[in-house]
Amino acid sequence: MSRRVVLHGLGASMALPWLESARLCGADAMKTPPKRFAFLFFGDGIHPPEWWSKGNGSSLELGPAFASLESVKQKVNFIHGLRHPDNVVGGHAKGAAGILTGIQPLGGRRIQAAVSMDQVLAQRLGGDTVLPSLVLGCERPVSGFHESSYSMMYASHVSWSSPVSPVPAELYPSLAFDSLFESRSSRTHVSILDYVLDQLKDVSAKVSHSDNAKIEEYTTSVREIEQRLVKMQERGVDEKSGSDSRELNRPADGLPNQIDEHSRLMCDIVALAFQTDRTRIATLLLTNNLSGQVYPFLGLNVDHHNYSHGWQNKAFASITRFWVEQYAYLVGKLDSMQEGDGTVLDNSCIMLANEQWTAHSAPKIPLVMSGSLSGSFQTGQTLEYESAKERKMSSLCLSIMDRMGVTLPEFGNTTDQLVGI
Amino acid sequence: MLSIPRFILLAQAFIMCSSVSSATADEYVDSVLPYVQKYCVECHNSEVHKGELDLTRYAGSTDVTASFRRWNNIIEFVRNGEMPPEKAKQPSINESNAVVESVDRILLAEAVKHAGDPGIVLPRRLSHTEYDTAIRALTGADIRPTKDFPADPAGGEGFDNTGEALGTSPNLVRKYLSAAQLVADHLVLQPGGISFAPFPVTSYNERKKLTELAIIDFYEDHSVDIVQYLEAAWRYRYRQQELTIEQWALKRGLSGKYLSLVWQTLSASSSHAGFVKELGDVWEAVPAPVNDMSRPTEFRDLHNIVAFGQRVLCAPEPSLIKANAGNWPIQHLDFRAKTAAARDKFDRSSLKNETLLNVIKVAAPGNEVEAENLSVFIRVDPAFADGDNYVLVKRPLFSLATILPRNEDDEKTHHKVQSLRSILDRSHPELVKTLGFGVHPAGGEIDPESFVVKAPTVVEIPLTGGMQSELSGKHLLMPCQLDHEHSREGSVFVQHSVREPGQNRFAGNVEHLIYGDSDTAMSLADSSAVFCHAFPNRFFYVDNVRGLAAGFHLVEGFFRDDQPLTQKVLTDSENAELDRLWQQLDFVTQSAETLIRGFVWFERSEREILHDKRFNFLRSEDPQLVEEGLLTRFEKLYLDKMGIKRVGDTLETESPDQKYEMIHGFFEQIRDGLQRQHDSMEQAEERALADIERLAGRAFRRTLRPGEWQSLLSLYRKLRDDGQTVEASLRGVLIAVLMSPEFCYHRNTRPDGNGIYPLTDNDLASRLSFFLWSSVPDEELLAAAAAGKLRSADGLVAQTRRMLNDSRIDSFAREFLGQWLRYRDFLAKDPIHAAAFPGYTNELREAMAEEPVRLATYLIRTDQSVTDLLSSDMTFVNGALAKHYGGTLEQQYRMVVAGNGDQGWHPVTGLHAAGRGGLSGMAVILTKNSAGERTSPVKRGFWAVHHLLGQHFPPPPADVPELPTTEEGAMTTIRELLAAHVADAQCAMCHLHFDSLGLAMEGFDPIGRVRTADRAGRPINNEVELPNGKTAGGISGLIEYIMQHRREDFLRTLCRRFLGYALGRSVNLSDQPLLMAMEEALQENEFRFSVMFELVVCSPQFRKQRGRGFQTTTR
Repeated sequence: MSRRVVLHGLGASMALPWLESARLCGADAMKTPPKRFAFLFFGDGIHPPEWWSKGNGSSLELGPAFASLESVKQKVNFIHGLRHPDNVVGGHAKGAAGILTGIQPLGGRRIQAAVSMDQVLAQRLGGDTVLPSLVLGCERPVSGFHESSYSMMYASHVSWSSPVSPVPAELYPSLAFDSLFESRSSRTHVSILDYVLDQLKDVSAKVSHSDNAKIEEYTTSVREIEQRLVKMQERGVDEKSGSDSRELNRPADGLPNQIDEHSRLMCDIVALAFQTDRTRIATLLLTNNLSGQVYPFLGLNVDHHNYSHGWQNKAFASITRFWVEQYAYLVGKLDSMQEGDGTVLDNSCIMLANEQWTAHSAPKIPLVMSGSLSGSFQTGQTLEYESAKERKMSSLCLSIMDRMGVTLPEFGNTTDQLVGI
Repeated sequence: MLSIPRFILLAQAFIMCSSVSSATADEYVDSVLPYVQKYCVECHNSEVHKGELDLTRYAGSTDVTASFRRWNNIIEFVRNGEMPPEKAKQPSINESNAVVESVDRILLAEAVKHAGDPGIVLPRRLSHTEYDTAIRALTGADIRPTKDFPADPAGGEGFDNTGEALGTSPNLVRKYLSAAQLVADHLVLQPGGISFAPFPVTSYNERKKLTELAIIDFYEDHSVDIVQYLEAAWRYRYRQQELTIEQWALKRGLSGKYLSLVWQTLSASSSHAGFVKELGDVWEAVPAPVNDMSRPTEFRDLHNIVAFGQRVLCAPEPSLIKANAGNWPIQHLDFRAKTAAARDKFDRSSLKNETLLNVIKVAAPGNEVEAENLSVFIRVDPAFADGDNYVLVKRPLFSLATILPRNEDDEKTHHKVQSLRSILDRSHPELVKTLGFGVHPAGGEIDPESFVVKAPTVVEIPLTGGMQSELSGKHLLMPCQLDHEHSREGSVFVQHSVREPGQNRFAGNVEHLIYGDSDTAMSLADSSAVFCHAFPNRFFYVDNVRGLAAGFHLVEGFFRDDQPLTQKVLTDSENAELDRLWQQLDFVTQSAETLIRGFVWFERSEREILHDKRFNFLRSEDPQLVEEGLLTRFEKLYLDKMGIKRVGDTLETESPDQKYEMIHGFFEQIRDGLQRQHDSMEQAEERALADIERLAGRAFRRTLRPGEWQSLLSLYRKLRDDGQTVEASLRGVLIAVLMSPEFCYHRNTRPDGNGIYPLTDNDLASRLSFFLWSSVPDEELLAAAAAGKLRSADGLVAQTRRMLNDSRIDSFAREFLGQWLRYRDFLAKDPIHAAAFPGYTNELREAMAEEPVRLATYLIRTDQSVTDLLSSDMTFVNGALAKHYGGTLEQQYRMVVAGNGDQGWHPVTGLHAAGRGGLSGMAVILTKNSAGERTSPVKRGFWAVHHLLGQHFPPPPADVPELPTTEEGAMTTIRELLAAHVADAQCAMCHLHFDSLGLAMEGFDPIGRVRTADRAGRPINNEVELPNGKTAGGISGLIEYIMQHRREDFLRTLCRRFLGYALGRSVNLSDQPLLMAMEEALQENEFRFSVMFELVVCSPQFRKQRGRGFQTTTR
């Protein structure tokens, strides 16, 4: 079969890390590793008594919620007290759409949010990679209405490619995995361009010599684009050197039955995508707002949202810890991936946040952020903003985008970057 | 009427007789070269080449014909005596005339020799405009995918439709691919095939928006305004013509079906009992109409009583959105179904025997609703029962709330209740007695804070000023109940009012109190049912916030609640359309699947029903959930969980009850929906493929060749096999069609030989369509081509005329005129510093750019004179432009709008009186040829002389001095500064040709507004001396000059540009005879646009092509 049909066997994939990939496509100009941004979202608030940190550097102390981050804590910032736009508080209906857009979505039947930060980055930076961004989810989106008459679209989408279009999240690990290597749209485009090239062959045979120069111009251009697409897909599969262990088996088709397995596979895929530079932007929605996730493996039979109303209780404490553990798993994995003088984590910014503080109240955003974006951020700190005058979440977005090379005059509800980061 | 063949004959005759005087061996060497060497080469040689002209390059006649444009310009200078210049050695007039004649002869001889040669028309990609227009024609959606592409370069005669100019690069192909993807993202698979949404449909939100809005729009278009029906029925009663009620409805734009029902109900109303009898009395009382407009007061009574009946007799409408978390979706659907079914039903059990009157909110002291001497009234009238009608007013009170207190805490703390009696005891003790607090008129004691009234009666309760501060902000609440003990069979109307007693028995706040289980109510049943059948409480339900949502908390689901509309109002075909829209919504949003997935999530997270280990296998994301196996397993467990005993392991129950029916019915509904989705998909796929095949044919401008569809189909299969959905695969095929050279390239099918051959029918149709419409041929043109009709001049002319009179000819107006006269890029390259001109908005700019298109489109469609482009006294304006132009133009526009209410574009006349006329007085031309914050007489004049009239000038030297950037910053007027510049003879040589024309336009400021002073306040002088030595003032003088002295220049330029645009190539010497024929034909046919179009499309240049083996040397 053609060189494009690859990768469907178990364990057949061999992804080249960023550096090798860069060399393979002759991108010598790329001297420094790329910067990446990932956002992990979970909903319905946290268990506050355990969600704390104190001090910086060697004196950094973590609350029990962050136990799983202990070993990498010097690469993490614990940012407390940031806020949404003033009125995206309370209730469950709109926080997901608010958190990376920094705006208040519109109520009622007409959907209107804003382009989210990850998609701003994807639109500006995404052209260099196979996928402009990777948008994954572990829970199905919901589309009805909340009692506050906000669409539930807002509760189940953090990524928005336009004010009216949430980006559909990929739920299936197997398909997410495939998309890294042959994004479905580029695969479709290759098939289409093959068809067009066949047609051009027919046309060329029929035209005069002078006419053919014009047709040839088109043929050459189409062929070049087709080959570019093919090459992007082939990156990482044609070398089976196997000298290191960056292999990941293609996940089985279908959906894992339990959320722990599901979320872990999604983290693996994000890590692989960053390591192999298939994309530099990822969002992973671990739960919706008003989540119906269940955690039988934690000995819990009720759903996430119900537990969130008992946020003071042990059950919700264990759920909060569970999601931080998934985040810690991703962070640890990225930190184990060598890249240049550091690790992939060092060249990334990996954020975990929740739109509520406790179930129905959002005075501040629970948020941690790992990786220094190639030294753009100091890490290993506790950053307290609760009593700061300016403490908008949008300002943090603006700062991160700036450090990634996308400097905007304004974003969401702010024109200022966050001070002190 | 113009006869085309005659013109072709004429052109041919011209060619024939010209051929007779053919040139000698080499006339250039014999007659021209000596002159050139003697008078010209001193300045125009390979070293000096003034004006970038090197005459030593031309050795013989073939060099001259090869550079015929250049030579046309050269002899123009000699003819006008401008060359050789004054300071150089001067030839005699005869010498110069002889040389001019020789060059003319050389050129003409060559022209005639190859007259009609189709020339080289290279294959080329579509221009961006053509691409966008073609996409609009193919999809019906105005997507404009090339909006952000880099501008197309121009070639040939200055147009972007030439093969030389339009190249392709990998980057452009990448953009094409994105553009095609964008178009494909608008494709939506529907049960009936494919359609294109006005926006990209890439997420659920857009799918829903698209299909839900279509239904809501349908409902709005078919909504029922009862007043209109009542009026129609009333007028029908007094009709003068013999018309059926259906005909009557049709005349008034109403539903015949529903008007019949209203008419029959009203006509028969007086023979009924109860409420309908009352309705009949009111109906009978409406007098005959006096005119077509006014309605008597009795008519208002009729409307009131109908509205009253709808409110009190039809089943009351409960709140249909249940936003609380515990609301059981299955039960909610059942509730919605019951509500929907009861909209036109009378239900005794919903009759009320009590009501809470919120009589007044006491205003704060000093408020204008001063309570001094203000009274409130309770009026109680007997309704449908004789005998004793007592109404108990149960503890009336003042309260901060509008509901009654539920407990003592409410009463004291929150509502701060004071009973009416406690107030009256202090303020009006006598009234306490009159009202009879505490005693029943029929005897016996009642609660001391309540009283009973007997109908008919009017109770007045004065609220004196003294009470105001105490009661400020409180509501007077009066709970009224039909006396249970004494008036079980009673029936009363209760009404409250302020200042004076209520008058109208059927006003909006009148309540009817009756016991639903009484005999009185029973006796009302029949007639009330008749009423409700005709006048339902609603015809359809669309929630203000949630649209067509089923209305349970959080779960997405749609609910159709429109039975009265479908049964009483819509025709069969309208119902079919509405059904189709609902089917479309279900299909496009996958509503059954969406509902069951949402249901699983909701029952777990909001209702906790699935908090049970047995349900742990169930995930709302699971693809298997919509398969029968898992769905049945779920239903069984769900029934068990709900305590329903099943028969063995089946879905049946031992004892069917309402709950079982509801649950099982819900799952059955899901199964039906999933099955329908599956069936619709099969049908949709088949139809969609047929649609795509048709679309491909139109995109390729011909019927597909054998095998062509097969290869598209195999691409489709490949994408499907690759796991793509039907819709995504269709999108893929569409992208392939749009990327195909058969769509995005113009290419003619060429015969092998070395001669000249006709274009194929399809190629000719395509050429014609892209010429006139910048788009693919429509079905009619393709059909004409297929029938061979384009092979005859008559057939070709017939199609051309049809297309000229079509609104799509605006593409020609926009593209040809815009590119020829250099304003098409106005919006992208506006020279104006907008900040310096308040009110210079985008809306205005867009209107400015649109104005010439509107005028030219009108001129072409109505086949006016091409000289109207120069001198038209009429134009088209919209609101923004009218305001910009001001004066009588604005007044005219306002009057038209006031007359017809249409805020769009309208024709206005009187341009000449306003100092304007034709294109040169248009804001867009004046503005495009300005410079930042000042006018530019040079640019304006050059525009007129060079672009409009075709006069050529050598490029300016590199060291021309700059004019100041603003008028404020200049020492004197631009006019005077220019005069100084032109004092230099070398500058004057060119400037004297155009400056004066530009200065004539000085009466208009940089953005084309009339002005009498420049921006520094210096008075404007637009009196000029024209190149012919005459003086003229303003644009009208300019127009007069062109019409009288330069019209031929204009026509020559127009014809040449026109031909270049039509052919998509540079004009060749061999086109000269055709150009001359065009000019001549225009002169003879009142300069009508159609003359040019018809002559060109019938010319061999347009209809033919060179064969593949054509050698230029062998011609």
